Order: sequence, then structure tokens, then C-alpha cells
Amino acid sequence: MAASRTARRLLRQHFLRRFLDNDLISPHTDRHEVLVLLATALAVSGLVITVLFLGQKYVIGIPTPGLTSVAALDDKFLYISASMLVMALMAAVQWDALALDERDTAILGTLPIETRDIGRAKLEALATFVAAFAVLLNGVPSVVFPLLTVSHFHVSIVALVRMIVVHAAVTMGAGAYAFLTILLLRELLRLLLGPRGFRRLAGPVQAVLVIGLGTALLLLPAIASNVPARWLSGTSALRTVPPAWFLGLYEGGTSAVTLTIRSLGFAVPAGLVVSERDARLLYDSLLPRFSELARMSAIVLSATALAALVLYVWNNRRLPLPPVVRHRPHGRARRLAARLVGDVLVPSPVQRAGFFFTLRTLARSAQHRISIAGACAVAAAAAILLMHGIRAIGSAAAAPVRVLALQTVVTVIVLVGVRQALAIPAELRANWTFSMAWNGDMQSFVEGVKRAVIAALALPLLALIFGLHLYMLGALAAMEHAAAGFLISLIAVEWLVRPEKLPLTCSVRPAGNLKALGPIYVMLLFVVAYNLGRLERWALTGGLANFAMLMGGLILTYAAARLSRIRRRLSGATSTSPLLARIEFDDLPDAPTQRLGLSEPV
Amino acid sequence: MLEAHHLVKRFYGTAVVDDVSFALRPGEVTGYLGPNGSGKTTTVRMLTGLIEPTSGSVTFRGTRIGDDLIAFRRRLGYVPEEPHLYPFLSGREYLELVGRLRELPESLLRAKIPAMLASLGIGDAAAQSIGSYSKGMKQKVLICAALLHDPDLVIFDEPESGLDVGTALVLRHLVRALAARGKAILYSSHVLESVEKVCEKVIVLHRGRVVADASVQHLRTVMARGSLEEVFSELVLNEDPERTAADLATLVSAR
Repeated sequence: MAASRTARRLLRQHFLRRFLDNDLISPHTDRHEVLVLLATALAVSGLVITVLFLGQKYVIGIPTPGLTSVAALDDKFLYISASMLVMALMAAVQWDALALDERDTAILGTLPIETRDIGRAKLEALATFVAAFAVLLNGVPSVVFPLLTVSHFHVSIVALVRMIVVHAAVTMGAGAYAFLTILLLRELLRLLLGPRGFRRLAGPVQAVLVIGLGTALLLLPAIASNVPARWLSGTSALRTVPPAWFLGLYEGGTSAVTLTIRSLGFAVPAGLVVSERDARLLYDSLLPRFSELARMSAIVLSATALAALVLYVWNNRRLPLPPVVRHRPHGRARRLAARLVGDVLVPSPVQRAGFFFTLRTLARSAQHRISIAGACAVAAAAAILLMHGIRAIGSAAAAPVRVLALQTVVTVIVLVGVRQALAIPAELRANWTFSMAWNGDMQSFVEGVKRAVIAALALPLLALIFGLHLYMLGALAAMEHAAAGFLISLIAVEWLVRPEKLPLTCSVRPAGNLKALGPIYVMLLFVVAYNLGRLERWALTGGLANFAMLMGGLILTYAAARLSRIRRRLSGATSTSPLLARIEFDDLPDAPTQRLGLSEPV
Repeated sequence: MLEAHHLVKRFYGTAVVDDVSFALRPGEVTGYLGPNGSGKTTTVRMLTGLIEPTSGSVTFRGTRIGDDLIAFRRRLGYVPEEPHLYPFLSGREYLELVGRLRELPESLLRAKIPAMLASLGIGDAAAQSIGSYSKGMKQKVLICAALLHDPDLVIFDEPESGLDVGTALVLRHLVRALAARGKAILYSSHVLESVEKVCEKVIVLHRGRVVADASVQHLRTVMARGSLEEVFSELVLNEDPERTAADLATLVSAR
């Protein structure tokens, strides 16, 4: 029994390390550094949002109890939603590490440890990790936010502690619910699809989750406003919005304190008497709804936890074995498509190497997939904001500029994500393959990479946007707009995919200080996209203007490609350059102790 | 064809390879032997240009390999000791990548890759991701990748690691067949039986230095030993293996 407990403790530590040291977060860096950075980022972001954004609102802006109680609903909704989205996003990012895998079978399967103990240790490690993450995320705001909301009023210590405890419990409970929902989804898919089907679908599902959750997180400040009117009035939407359930639980726990503060006879300034009375009436009218929502949150949290736990235990009752994959020869259509791609799109062997290696790495490597999914989430959030409130227009001449700017904004954001993904080595240890087989023709390889980016990302994205514009602008304008988008994406690819080192084998840090230059780049993107949109709106109105726009686009695309080649030639980066012939492919980084200089000669 | 001239490699001041010189000739299989930590893999990495020697040089057909590393590697096939591959690619996709980087025609790849994989018994697993391969299967992919472009010089670093008996036998015959076609081969291995059967000549390395460089027959005659194993024991083992094993067994039984 004692031996089993010791083994479980050691296994728990091992699994906990895996969460921080998995292939996704840091394949080779210092675990402690990752831990400190993660903890700091979580704690500081909570503190910054609470103090900087909400401090002024409560300490200076809202001096009365009724107005405070109503305004606080928005912020409580924001905290609950943020906790849920961040925890769900964390679960999606850790998707592969959530349950036991074949690597665990290989390492632990031969040791004299019960499978039940291994499963239990994994579950305990998961619970510890989630709890630590939730505390780091919600700990600081749990203390600071209640203090801000009662800064004008006399509140007993007991009441304040109650508010702090309720805030912490509700935000962490909401986060746990979101995490458990993702876990439940994963285990359900695993049960229904079996090991082979799950393996095939896991990557796309993870990417979709990251895009959806990332988009929602980015749009959260816009969503979490005017909560009483938008989320709490009416009846239909109530039961379908999980943060509202937990908001009900929150108010269920603190409404007594709110009512006590009101009953203390606070002197309301003359100008605010009416607003204060309306706010109190609104809050009182919502009180019965809070208890209904609180009940709902308790039911869904317990049901989700139970279902996730049962499925998790059931799926992990045996150590997983690698699924046996049957060899299926490719169909005629696929062979024909591959031949077509080979002959037409990437005619030279090195181009073909770059093309297919990029396609396969971006689709199958978790790090690269998540990098691009993150960019897609930002692009989707930008698209939603740009399209907000716009219905079908019918003609390009009447289209608002932001509708026409959307294509450029979305394409460039996704391509920036691709640029980041290309700077991540596919597998450092396998770089010797490139070292041994490299022929020095970087230009051809990069050309293959660019064509893969256009074929696999830019074109599908344009097709998606085309569907939207078809509905909004009509067929002809949508087609012309898509053609312009294609030229813009060609220019963007030429501009953004211009690596100094070989993509997917060497990590290339972006030049300049992104923290300082990032906002400037974003502003620049919107300025360029809006002006292009204006130009396009003019061009879409007449035949000659249309022709001029098309020719201009073609000339610009050609100029971008030429410029790219000239720049490479000036930097000595031609196919025969001795500099590139001897690319230093990234190797494993030095051990952390060497970074401290402990082993360097004095 | 390939010559190592007074190779020295130091790590933090310690010489791992110390003044190693030898030559590989076309049509000849040279065995490279030595205990763990003797500097075999470090030498092999210097020969392939993966690391630079601290001093000394490697020449291929009279030219220093560093002067035109790409031209040298076009004629080199290398099977590394550790089978590090891209886990998300299938065996076929990995070989396609290598073939395309080496600018082999697509028609040749389409013909060669399935046939080579099938010859080594992993034709059925060609479409599976390498992440699900056993060590032996990865080793077979590495052997195919090293030979795909018909190199003049082949360096095998522990090629039998993880291979089943049948494939190991195929490999031995393959090495002989490649040598018969004029290729120079360096065969670094711990399996003395293989080295004895496959190689005309052996170089024995001990603590970074060459302690023997001669034909297997010559070594056996000079040292008056019946097998390469006995010659190896005489050259590099300071302790009686039987006694060491007995001591270890005692340690295993200790409670």
C-alpha cells in the first residue's frame, strides 16, 4: 500500500512535469523558466486588468450602491467568461497531454505498477495542474475586485471575506466547468471514434477549438457589456449561456452583502437619485433569476464533472497501444492530383521538397497547427468586428470600405501566423536529414514553401471570404474582389515569407522589437487595408477602372517578386552562394546551465 | 577515396579523438571498432562534415570536404547511430523528402522508394507515420535514405541496431554487394561477428587513438588469435570480461 502510494506520488510529479515540458510548450527549454513565466503572465494579467481598467471606474466613477451592483454585473460576467475561455483554451492547447498516451505505455508499461495507479496518478496530476492554473488566473482579481467594488461603502470584514471567497469560488468553478467540458468532449470522441478514428480527428478538432475559443476570448470585452439587458433579460438565451449560470451563482452568494450595503442609508448625490433608483429596481427584478441560474450552474457543473470523470476513468482503464494502421494505396484521383501538383505547381525537385514538407508539417505538427490556429482566431475576431452590423449590400459601389478591407486584414493576419509557424523547427533532432541532403538551393526550397502557403492557406481562406462576399456584394463583384485578394495575398506572401534561414529547420527571431512595433504594424495594416478597400470600391464601379486596378495589381505582384529576388541577390542569398550552401541548421540548444555561463572558460 | 588526416577533436579541452588517420578505398569495406566512448561516432561525424575537427582534415578525392561540402555530400550515404526522423511523416514521405532535396527525378523516386521499402520488409508500413515505427523499422528507413541516391561512399554507424536477424543478414550481403560495385564503405559496429564477416580491413579505436589498422586476417595472424573477438579483447579490454561479469552478477544479487 505504502509502495503504491510512493509510486503514485512519483508518477504524479512525472506527469506534472510533462504538462510544463511537453512538446507544445517547451521541447528543450528550462522547465523552471517556463513555470515562472507562465505563473507571472497569469497573475500579472489579472492584476493589470483589475487595477488599470476597473480601478478608475469603481474608485472614482460610480459612487452609489445601486449603480455599483448593476455595473459590477458586466465585470463579473467578464471575469467568469475570461476564466472559462482561458481554462478551455489551456485544455485545448494541452489536448495531447490530457490523458495517458503510447509514450506512457512504452515508459511505464513495463514497470511493476498497477495500471489503475498510473491512471489515478495522471488524474491527480491533471487535477493539480488545473487547480494551480485556476488559482494563478483568478487569485489576484478575487482579492482586488471585491475591494474595488466596496471602496465607497462601509463593509464588515466578514462580508468582504465572503465576497472574496465567492468571487474566487465562482470564477474557479466556472473555469473548472469549461476545462471539464473540453475533457468530456475529448473523452467522448475517444470513446465513439476508437483509437484510430480519434487519432485522425484529434488534430482538426484541436485546431477548431483553438480558433473558436481564441476568437471568443478576443471578442470578450465587446461581448461582456450591458450584461443585464443583453444576457439576463428575456428567457430564451438564458439557459444557453454558461457564464450567465455562474453569474447567477455569484450573485446568489453576494446579493445579501449588496442588499446590506444599500440598507445602510448611503447618501446619494442629487444628480444620481433617479439612476440609483432605476438601478436598484433593475437589480431587485433580477434577484429571482439569479437563484434559477445558480441552480443551473450547480447542476451542469456536477453533471459535467461526473460524466468527464466516468469517461476518463473508463478510457484510461488500460494503457493505450499504438493503433494498427492498415496500408491503403492512394486512389487514382489522389495520384492524379499529386502528379498535377508536381508537374505544374512545383516542377523542380527541391521546390517539391519545400512544398510537401511545409504542407505536412503545418498540418501534422501540433506546434505549427496551434500557431496557425492562433492567427486564425485573431483573424476571425477582426473579421467579426469589421462585419458587425452589416447585412447584404447588393453592389460593390454601395459597400462600406470595411467590407472590402476585411479580405486584406484577414489574409495578412493569417499569413503573419504562417510566418511565425515557419520559424519553428519541425523537429530539431531530425535536422541532420537536411544537413546531409541539402544542395544549397534555398531559393527553390523557399519557392516551394511559398506555393504551399498559397495553395493550402491563402486560397481556402479567399474561397471562404468569397462565399461571404457572394452573399453581400453579388457574383461579379465578389469574383473581382477575390481576384484582387489573390494578388494581395501573393504580394503578402512575397513580403512575409522571406526567411533569412531555412524555414522549418531553423528558428528565426523576427527582427525588431515587436512590443514597440506591433501596434504600429497593426495600425499600418488597417490603414493599407482601408485604402486598398477605397481603391477597390472605385475600381469596381466601371470597366476602365476595373482594368486599371487589375493591371496595377499584376504589376505590383511582379514588382514584389522581383524585389524579393533582388534583395536575396544583394544579401548574397543566391542558389550558388557559399553562404547559403553552408546554412548552419539549428541544433539542440545548449543546456540551461551553459546559458548561465557556468561551464564557459573564465 | 576518403582520407582522414591526423584528426583531433577536443570537447572542453579533453581529446575525444586524438590523431586519427586512415583511408577508405573504392571496393573496400572498412570496419571501425572500439568500445563505448572510444570516439567512433565523433570520428564519423567529422567524416560526414556534421562537426568540424579541432585539428586535422578530411579529404574526398583529394579535396578537403569543407571546401565543397555539398558536392561531397552528394556522393555520401550516411546511416547515423540515432534514428532521429520526422515523426509526423510516413516512411515513404520521408524518403521522398530526402530524394527531392537530393534532386532525384520524380519517376526514379516513384520506382525506387516502394521497391526499397518492400525489399527491407516495411512496404506495408510505408504509409504509416514514422512516430509509430519500431527502432528496427526506423533503421530500415535510414538505410533506404542513405542509399537512395546511389552514393560512392557509404558510412554506416551501428547499422544493425534494432534490426531483426533476417534483415541484419540482408544488410551484410548488401554491404558486400555495394563494395563489389566499387563503393567505399565504412562500417562502424559493436557486432564483431558482422565486422569479421563483412570487412576486409578493420581500424580499432581505443580512448580516441587508433590502436590497430590492418586486415582482419593480418591481425589474427600477428596477434596469434583465432577470432576478431579475441583480437579486440587483447587490444582494448583491460580487464578480464569473465571476471567483470562475475563481479556484476554478485552486485545484482546484493540485498
